[in-house]
Parts: sequence; structure tokens; C-alpha cells
Amino acid sequence: MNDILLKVEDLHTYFYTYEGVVKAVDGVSFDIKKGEIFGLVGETGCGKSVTALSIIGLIDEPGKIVGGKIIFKGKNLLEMSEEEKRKIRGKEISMIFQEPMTALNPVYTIGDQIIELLLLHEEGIANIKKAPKELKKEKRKKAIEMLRLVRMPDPERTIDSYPHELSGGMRQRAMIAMMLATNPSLLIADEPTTALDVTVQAQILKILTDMRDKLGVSILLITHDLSVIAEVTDRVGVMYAGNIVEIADTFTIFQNPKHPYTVGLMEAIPKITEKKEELRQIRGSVPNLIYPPPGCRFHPRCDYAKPICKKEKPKLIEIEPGHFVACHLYGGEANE
Amino acid sequence: MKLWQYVVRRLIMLIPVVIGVTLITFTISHVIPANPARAWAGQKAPEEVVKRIAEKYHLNDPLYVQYYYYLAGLVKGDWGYSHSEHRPVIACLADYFPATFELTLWAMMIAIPLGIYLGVVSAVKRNKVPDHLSRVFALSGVSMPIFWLGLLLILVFYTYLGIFPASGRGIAPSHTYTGLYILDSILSLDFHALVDDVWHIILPSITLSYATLAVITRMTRSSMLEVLRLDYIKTAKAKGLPDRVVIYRHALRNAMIPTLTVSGLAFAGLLGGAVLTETIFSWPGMGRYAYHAISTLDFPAIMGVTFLMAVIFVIANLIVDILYAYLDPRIKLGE
Ligand SMILES: Nc1ncnc2c1ncn2[C@@H]1O[C@H](COP(=O)(O)OP(=O)(O)OP(=O)(O)O)[C@@H](O)[C@H]1O
Ligand code: SF4
Ligand SMILES: [Mg+2]
Repeated sequence: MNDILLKVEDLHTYFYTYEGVVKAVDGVSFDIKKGEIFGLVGETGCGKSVTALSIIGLIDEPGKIVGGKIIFKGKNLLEMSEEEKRKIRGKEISMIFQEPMTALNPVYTIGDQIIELLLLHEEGIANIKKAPKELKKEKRKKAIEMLRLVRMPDPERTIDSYPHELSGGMRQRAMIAMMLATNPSLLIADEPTTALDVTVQAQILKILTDMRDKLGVSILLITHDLSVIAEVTDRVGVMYAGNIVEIADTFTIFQNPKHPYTVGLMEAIPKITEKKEELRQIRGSVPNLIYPPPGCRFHPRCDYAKPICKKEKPKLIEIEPGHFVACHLYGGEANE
Repeated sequence: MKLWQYVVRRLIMLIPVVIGVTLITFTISHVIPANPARAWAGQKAPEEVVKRIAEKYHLNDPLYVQYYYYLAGLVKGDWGYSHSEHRPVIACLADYFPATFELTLWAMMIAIPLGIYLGVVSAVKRNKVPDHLSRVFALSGVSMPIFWLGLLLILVFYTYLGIFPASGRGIAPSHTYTGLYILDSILSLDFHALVDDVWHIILPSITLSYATLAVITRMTRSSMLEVLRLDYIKTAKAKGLPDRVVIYRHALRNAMIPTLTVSGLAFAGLLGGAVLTETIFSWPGMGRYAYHAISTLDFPAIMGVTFLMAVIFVIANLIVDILYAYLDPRIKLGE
């Protein structure tokens, strides 16, 4: 299929800690199409950020990608040299983080940080101080354009501000402007709005969808907020304890969830008609990823668990076109 | 606030510091029940001489009068008479301070770049061989007695190998401009003195630098480790920047801020004269002078040295604060 930009196949990322091996990502597969916004949702600690960092190649010690493939534009990123990956990072695949407060370097202006990126990928100049003045001026113009594109107020002035002089929402705009300045094909946004207040959240989400529409960038949007998923994503992957348990288009996930965990998540959404006390929680707690439960990792919390669930890990299978579920309730004996 | 306004304001703040410091040293040196006039005149001097000395230096006046005379003298550049040296305190300081300053300068020129470099390597190669080596090196630096290191260096490089001399500052350059031998010998194109002076300063400056080097290494390592886990380092890596740019441009600039404080205070501290190093290497600096002054009850000298030190500390702090504001745009001078 030609419209697939990124294909993650059976990704395994482990952390080798003193307490044991944390199997943070344990067989994750999904793909992202060109120009789509793909949401990744799940409880805290289920491996969303680790998946994202694995894709962009920023897993640090004690972490290690121990298996799988990450195929981006037809090439497996995991087989590339560090140098080749560095050329893709920030140019073809960019990433923005949760805390706009701390994601920008406090000692450089917004402009310097954007210009640095443009010089690196467009001119091959890693040290901003060594760039000719003319070139810097040219990049500065482009940086102002980008800031205008993300609707930064007064970009000619803001470009010379330091991060601490801007509000959280403005910083996140600056991050988005920077990370899209090189016109990448994939933007990974790891909880980009979690740290912001609600009105600003909505603005940032609007900017992200606008950018997708104007620049055609695909976005991997990570969140644990289902309302964010509902608002902006085209398709969704649901993660549980290092696995993807369900993938479908956003409408289907909300209207026709299949995996018992996804069903539980949907029921936990407060509805206007319900009283607070009636709000359902999924019972039990998030499993330890050093000694995860055998078989289906959700079985200790699942109301539908069968004997096989404790023994065999369910595979992710396509139960309807485009709707994938990893659960023994679906797919029949052939897959067990 | 403009830089000069800030500097002026801070220098004005020197006044209370000066009053405080002089008041303390003055009081302490005058409540010690000793007879300085007798000490200065010598044990065998006739009573007549002792009396004259006491009169000349207002030793019989009430303390506040003596203090007034002292302050008035300080302002006029008359810092009293150093009886242990038989010349004015100011003249002694003019001789000894440049010697200490030069030694400290060299020690810091070794300690700061090397300490930062080792700290960075240590943090980046955390828990690997380079880190272990640099930590052992730093640990020995903070725990090794300075006189032991000095004697060891003398033993190896002077006694056995005969490469470097072990005492004094070397040949005085043909002209004196600053009192710093090496700088003066360059200015006066006296290359004979230059070689000799450089040779002389190597062992004492290494000895003096080691403890500071160790502190700077440890400080840089820990603040680098702190900074390297922050989000903006992740951002810098996500931009595809090469490691060296991530480490030196993005991390070190931030990690330098605590290192700077340590360096500034260490510099000021060393300027007070490192008694041990100066004694071991017979370096004619402030440390040896102060030590000598204390053991001979040379109060004007003690007070002069203390006063100079206080001024140096205030100025060092001022410089550190200005550099702070330069390194970190979040810090605004005067707020
Ligand atoms: N550097 C690390 N060392 C050890 N374990 C780690 C490390 N980074 C992540 N983990 C573990 O990997 C698991 C997945 O973490 P991850 O950050 O991907 O969660 P997440 O889904 O992004 O959660 P959140 O919503 O809180 O951001 C967690 O159990 C975490 O403890
Ligand atoms: S596989 Fe079994 S335990 Fe897991 S979700 Fe399905 S029914 Fe529940
Ligand atoms: Mg996360």
C-alpha cells in the first residue's frame, strides 16, 4: 500500500533496570497513513511515550529496542546507522512534548532555536554560530512565517523572546512551528495539550489539524484523554500494558468498541445524563511490566476472561475491514 | 537596568561591607590582651621606645578613636605600618598580592577548563570507564592533603627528575608593569625571565589547582546529569542535532550556572593566599604574609589583608552575578 507512511511491526522495547527487565513495549504493531492523525490512547505507564521515542530513535539507556521493525517510507529505521537516523530526525520525523514549559531551551530565543533547526537540515550547518549572516536572515524570515502559520501573536517580536517570556500555549505554538519548519512527513505529539488549560488545549488541537490540512503532515497524537481523541483523530490505537489491544477508525472505537478494555474505557467516560456515583471504573490496577500477567495481560481485570486467556497471548486480528482486536473472544479457534 | 548602573549600585553596597569587616577585624585584633607596642619594638627595646610607638600609633587612645584613625587612613591609602616587614602595609600588599594573583590565575586556568571538561565527559559517559576514572581523580583531589601533593610533586619533578624548580617566583622581569612576572616579562620582551618564571609557576599552580579542579569536576558532573534528563535535551536530540552540539550548546550552557558560582568563590578564596602552597613552594604571596603577620601580632597587616580579601569577595560575587545574567536570560540584573 502506497498511502502508508509508517509501519510499526511487532516492536519490542525493554528497559534493563536493577529491579528487572521492564517490558514497556512488547509486540506493538500499527501503521500511519499519509496525512492522517493517528491517536494512541491508554492509561499512564502503558508504553505510549516509549513507542513514540522508539520511532524517533531516542530510547536511551537502560532502554533498548530488542525486536521488530519500524518502516518509514519503505525503509526500516532500525537497520539504519545512527548518522542516517539523525538526518531523518527533525527533518522527516519531528516530535513535540507534553511540557512546553521545559521542552524549549531556556537560554536561547525562540528564533535561535528554530533557525538552528533550519540551518541544520537545509544547509547542513550544525553550529548556528558558524552560519553566514545572510543565511541566518533568510532562515529567520522562514521562522517568522512558521510562527505566523501557527497563529503566534506578533511573530516579528515573539521570535526574539526567550521561552520564559511566553505563556504555555505560546510556547507550545513555538514548538509546533519549530518542529514543522522543515516540513516533516510525520509529527509525533506526545500529550501536547495535557499541561495546558482547556481553552488553550482547544486552540492547540485546532492548530494541529490545520497543519495537517495545510502541510499534509501525518500526526501521531498520544494522549490519555478520550475527548482529545474524539475531537481530532482519524484512527485510534488503544494500548494496554505494552500491547496494542484494538485499532479502528475513531467513529468505530467510540460506537462499536470490541476489546473488553476499550469497552471499559468508554464506559468510564462521564456522560451528562449520569450522576457522578454511577461512573464506572475498570476494576483492578495497571500490571507491573517487569512481571506482566501471562497470556492476555488484561485477564486479571477482565470480566470475560476464559482459561485460554491466562495461557496464550491473543494476536491482533482484523475482525472487520480496518478494525483490529487482540482478544480471545474474537476470531475463533483458528487464531488461538 | 543598565549594566553600569548595576555595577555602581553593587559597588555602593561595598561601603557597609567595608565598615562591617573593618569593625570586626579591628575589634578582634584589639581585644586580644597583648602589648603590640612591645611586640613591635622588640623584647629588649627600652621602655621609652615602646611608649613612643604607642603614642605614634594612637595605641593609648580609646578604641573608637583608633578605629577612626584607621578608617581615615584606609581612605587616604595609608593602611598602616607593617611592623613585621618594617614598611607600610600597602607596600607589602603591592608586592605580595600580585604574586598570589598570578599563582591563582594559573591555578584557575588549569582548574576551570579541565574541571568542566572532565565533568562533562564523566556525565556523558556515566558509569563507564571514563566516568570512574574522572571520579577517582576528583575524589582524590578533594581528599588529598594539599601539602602532601605539593611535596610529592617536588619530590618527583624537582628532586628526582630535576625538571622544574621548587621554590620562589623565578627571575624578576626587567620592567615591572603589573607585578605579574609572566605578563611583565612578555611586555618587556624579557624572554629569559619568561621561561624561568613559567618554569617556576608550574608546580605550585598544579598543587593549588587540584582541590578546585576536583570540586569543579564534581559540580559539573552533577549539574550535567541533572540537565541531560530535561525535556529540552530531548527536543535538541529530536531536532537531529549531533551529540556534540546537544552536549556543549544545549546542556553545558545550562549546567555551567552552578559551576560558575563554585569557580567564582574558589577564585576569591585562593586569592586570600594559599598558606600551605605558598609555604611549600616559598612563594612570596599573601598567604605567607598573613601567616607571618598573625604570628608576629602585626595588626595593621592582618587588617590590611582581611580588608583586601573582603573587597575581593564582593567583587568576585559581582562578577559571578554579571556572568549569571549573561548565561541565563531568566536572570535579570538587580531584581
Ligand atoms: N528510562 C526508563 N527506565 C525504566 N523504565 C522506564 C523508562 N522509561 C519508561 N519506563 C517504563 O516503561 C513503561 C511505559 O512508560 P511510558 O512513558 O511509555 O508510559 P506512557 O504510556 O507514556 O505513560 P504516561 O501517560 O504517564 O506518559 C512504564 O512502566 C515506565 O515505568
Ligand atoms: S483475551 Fe481474554 S482476558 Fe484478554 S481481553 Fe479478551 S477476554 Fe479478556
Ligand atoms: Mg508518556
